[in-house]
Parts: sequence; structure tokens; C-alpha cells
Amino acid sequence: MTPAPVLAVQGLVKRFPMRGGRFVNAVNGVSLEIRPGETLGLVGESGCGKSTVGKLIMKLHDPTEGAIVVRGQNIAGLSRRLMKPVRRQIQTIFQDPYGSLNPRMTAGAIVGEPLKIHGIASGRDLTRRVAEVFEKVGLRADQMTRFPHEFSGGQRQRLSIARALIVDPEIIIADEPVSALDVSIQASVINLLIRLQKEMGLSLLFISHDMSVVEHVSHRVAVMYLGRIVEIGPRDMLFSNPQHPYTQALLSAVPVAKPGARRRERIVLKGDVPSPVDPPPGCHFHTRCPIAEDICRQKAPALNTVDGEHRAACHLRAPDAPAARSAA
Amino acid sequence: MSDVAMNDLSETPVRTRATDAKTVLAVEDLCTDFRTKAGSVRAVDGVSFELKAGEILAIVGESGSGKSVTSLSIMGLIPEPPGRIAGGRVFFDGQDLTKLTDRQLQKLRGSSLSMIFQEPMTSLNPVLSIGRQMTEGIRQHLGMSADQARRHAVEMMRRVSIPAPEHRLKEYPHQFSGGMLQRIMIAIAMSCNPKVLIADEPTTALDVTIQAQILELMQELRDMTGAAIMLITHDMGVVAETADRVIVMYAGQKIEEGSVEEVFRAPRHPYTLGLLGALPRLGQAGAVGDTELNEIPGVVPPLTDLPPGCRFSDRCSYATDKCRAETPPLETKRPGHIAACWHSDELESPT
Repeated sequence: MTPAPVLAVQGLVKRFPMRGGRFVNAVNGVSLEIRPGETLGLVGESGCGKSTVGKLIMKLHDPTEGAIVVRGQNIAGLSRRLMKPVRRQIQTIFQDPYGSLNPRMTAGAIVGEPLKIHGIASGRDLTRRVAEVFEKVGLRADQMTRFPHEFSGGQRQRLSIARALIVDPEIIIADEPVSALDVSIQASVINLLIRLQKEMGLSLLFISHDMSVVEHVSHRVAVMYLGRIVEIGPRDMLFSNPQHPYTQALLSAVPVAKPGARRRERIVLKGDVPSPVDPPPGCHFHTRCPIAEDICRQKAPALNTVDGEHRAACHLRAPDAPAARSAA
Repeated sequence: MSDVAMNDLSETPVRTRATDAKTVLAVEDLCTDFRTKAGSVRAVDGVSFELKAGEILAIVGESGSGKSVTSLSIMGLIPEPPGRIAGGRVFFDGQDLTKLTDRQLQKLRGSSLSMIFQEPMTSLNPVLSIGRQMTEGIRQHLGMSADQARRHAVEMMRRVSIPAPEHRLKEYPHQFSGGMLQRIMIAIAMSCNPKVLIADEPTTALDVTIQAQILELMQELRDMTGAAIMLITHDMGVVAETADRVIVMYAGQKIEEGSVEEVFRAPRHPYTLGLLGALPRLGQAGAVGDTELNEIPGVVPPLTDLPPGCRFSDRCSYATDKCRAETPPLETKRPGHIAACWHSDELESPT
């Protein structure tokens, strides 16, 4: 049995208006769920809408359509006031550990601020809790009086994590949390996130462009292209048996740090991602797809079941898709 | 496993490169200093290497390792002040580049010695057409007429697979995607048949599918023209798939150098070993939380406050008192493979 999700997103759409009455179709009908204690990896290239999905869940943008259900409650239309208790449940870690910490506040004040905002603790109790969470993320309590610039990039990301954890949230939205860090530092932040998830039973939405990192941290993975999910499923199924031609190309493009390990030609996609202002009709990927046929140019494919929970949106590849054939 | 999972080990023949190829660029004991509030720091400290015709040499390191300053020093592009080439020589085409005047350097740059950068968007002038920017160097260095230069530019754009080049010459940088602009930068860099192309993080700002296109293009151009490429990167995957040889830098110094195969198979410096272990490998993840990535404790020491002895010693699990007191020299550990470590023999191979 699949446990009830802590968060479910249904038919999420976000169109940003542009001058001249046109729209950027950033998110175009995304549905996904995050289950207790799991990490859902959300991958895709720049402009695919993955970060917008994260921001919509955080209500940093209002969705154009669709529902965001947290513990049975649809938060899509909630006012700021009614959102406040929900925000405590959903915390965020951003990519830039330099831009997301106020340079004029001490590290302790930054990490303790959510406790004040949510009226959870103050005074000595607050200080004690901040000291606790500092240790949890591998910082020393005596560093509480320092300012952000006195910390290294990796330590700053630990501060962001501490600030997110201090209100004891259920869900963490981590948007490219290690992308700005050097490899050696990245490893320690990834290890820390996984360790904390286990200890605290956190559910994570891990948004990243890095397939290797996503594979390492995720239980399930969703791949986005031009505002839509093109493939979703348990990590091992998706990585070992990718069905969508885009997922296949994405995986084959990742450089492998083992000389001579590449055994097949890289699938090098032609051209660039089309503009989200005017996405191609039918399957958004057909302009770059090596196997596209007429149906792909006309009709958007649904997410069809590949195997169990593994689903892919391809007319030609999913086994029970109407136009399925032995194209593979 | 499917055709795109990458953990299969069936060997593909590794590029073989004539070891007796001609040296086109030789850097000897290069030192570059920068003046800071905290005093003068040595961003590149005694780096030496040779680049041979037709080879791709990767220089890999994390932020602050000195890899970019090394390439800018070679090109004579260190802003002075605050920077200064404090010592060493850079031999190219029979002359020492550090002794040349700006004017003489200008003649070389963009013709026989060219460079591409991380951000193609900021390397091109937004108010000049692509055609104007492409033909400028061609006319100057190859002495072609406007019409000849335009035809040459179209040919170069075709080589880097820009569709409808005649039409696109009239367009401006903002009308191109990031991947296309990097192709244009490569076309410009290659248009005067350089002997050496220095590529500083050429794919770091690009998406992975576009990165694959650009790396493939660079290899093709190398094969076609025989140019040598110096590839500056932080990405070990890019090194493994693109380069023939690799230099690893740490805190301004070269700490290891060898063929890509050798260095990845049996690194002789603990830092290189640590970097390789810190990477999540596609297709090798166990159940989430089962395997931890290898962490390198601590941070790169600031150049203003370097430890005595080996600069990596305070982060190194192999370090002994000797490491903290005496700087290890660069020694040949195996033919063609050098490293600066007192404990090279104790290192395990990465899994």
C-alpha cells in the first residue's frame, strides 16, 4: 500500500503574463505527490518549470490553475494569513547560500527568526533551540554570534538547512541546494540532508538539473520538459529503464567520471529547447525527438503506465500507449 | 541495464595520441600575484606544463585553485594592477609571451592563440551583429576583404552547425540561445586556425544536453584542425570524457598530472582521490542513505593563510607530521604520472 501523501499537486498550471497579451507557459498541467519520509527528485534543464513548481508549492507565486493539497487541505487559494501555519509545515532551501541569508543578521538570529515569526519560542528557549539545530547540521553553537560572510559556502548552506529545520517542518523544498557548491563541499551537504531526512522523517522535493545528484538522493524521480512531466517513477526503474526519449537523451548526456566507461554513442539532441511562450503543439519534445511521428506533432501524450508506478508521456514508447509499437 | 545506464564497463578503445607530438605551448614555473587588502597573494604558484599539438589537456580544480588565473596569465589577460605575473615563462611559437608587449600579444590572441569563456552572452557585444563580430578578427588576422571574411564566417558557422548561417550573420547575440552563442564563440575562436585554444569552463553555464553538443564539437574541431585544447573545468566527468591528459590544481599549485586514464584509475594525490570519491556516480547509487559520499573535511585554505608544508595537509586523512612541515615535491610516480605527495604509495584506488 502506498501511504497517503503529505503533499499532492494536481493539474498545476502557471502562466506568466507578458507584454502584448501573450503568456510564458511555465508550468503546464503538473501532477505529483510527495510521500512521508521520501525524496522526490524533480529534474529538467533550465526553463523546464521545475523551480516554478517549487515556488508554486511555497505559494511564492499563485497558480493559474490546479490544486496544492497539504494534509487534505487545498492551499492553492489561501490568503497570506491562512497560509502562515501551512508555511511552518513546508520549508525551503535555495541554491544561493550567499543571497538567501541577510548579511546584517548574526547566524543565530537568522536561524532563530522562524521561531519568532511562528511564535514558537523566544528568549532563552529560542537560543537553546538554535544551539541544538546548529549542532544537528554540523555547526558549533559558538558560531551563532558570527555573520554570514564569516562562513564558507558549505557552512552557509548548513545555515539555510538549520533555518528550515528549526520549525520542525514535514516537507522541505530544496531548489538546487548544492549546485553552487564545489564537489567536495557538495558531498557533505548531500550526506547531511539524507542523514537529517532519516532522523526526522522529512519529506523532500529535491529540484535539480544534476542527474547524478538526483539519483543519489531520490526515492522517486520526475523528469520535466517545457512545463510538463514527461516521465515519473521509482528511481531505479526510471534510471535503469528510461522510456521517454528525452529522459534517455538526458541520461546519456551526463559525462561519466570514468574514462572509457561510455559504451554507446551519446544521444546528442539536435537544437534547443523551444520557447515556453509558444510551445510546439502535440508532444512538446517532438521538435528534438529522434523518433517522433505524425501523432506526436498533433496530440499531447498522456502519462501512460510503463510498469507499476513508472509512467511516461510518449505515444511511441509506453507499452499500453495507443500508438505503442516495437519502436525501441 | 538499458542502453543509457552508464555503469557498464565494456571497454571502448581510448584515444591514442602520439606522445612525440610537437610541444606547442610550454609553461615554466609560472607565478601570478594579486594585491589584496590582506597583502600580496600568489594565486598561481610555480606551475609548469607542456601542451602538445592535437591534445586536449584538462586543468581541473575547485574554486580558488588557480586554474582560471593560469589560463588568463598565459593569454596576458591578467588585470594589472592588482595582478602581476611575478615569475616564470610561457613559450609559444618560439617566443616568451610574458616578455611581449600588449600590441604583440594582441596579434597572437584570436589568431594562433585563442580563448573561449564560460559566459558566451557576456563575451559578445550585444549591439553588434554576429557577422560583424565574427568578421572583425578574420579581417584583422587573415587580412581578408569584407566579402572574403563574410564567406569565411559563413563557412565557420556551418562547421559549428548553425543553421541558415547567411541569414543568422545579420542577427544580434540576444537572438541566439546560450548553446548557439557558445558555438559562435567557438567558431570565432577557431576562425583563424589557432594552434592553441584555451576553453575556460566552456560548458558550465549550459544545460547537459547542450554541453554534450559543445564537447563533441570541440573534439571534432581538434580532430579536424590538429589544434591543441586546454580545457579548464571543475567537472571530473567532463575531464574523463573529453581530455587526453589532466592536471589537478589545489590552492594555486599543480599537485598531480598524468594521462586521464592513469589519474582516474589510480590517483596518486589524496585530493584527487577525494574529489573522485565525492562525486555521485550515475548508475551506482545504492538505496538512498546506504552509501555516503566521500567528504573532504574543511575548506580550501585562503591564499593569505596557507599552512606550512603540504597545502592539503589539514584536510588530508593520510597527513603526517612530515606533511605539515615539508612541502612534497612533484615526483614521477609512474611513467608520465606525477604527483606532489609524501604518501602516494599508500593510496587506495577509487572504487
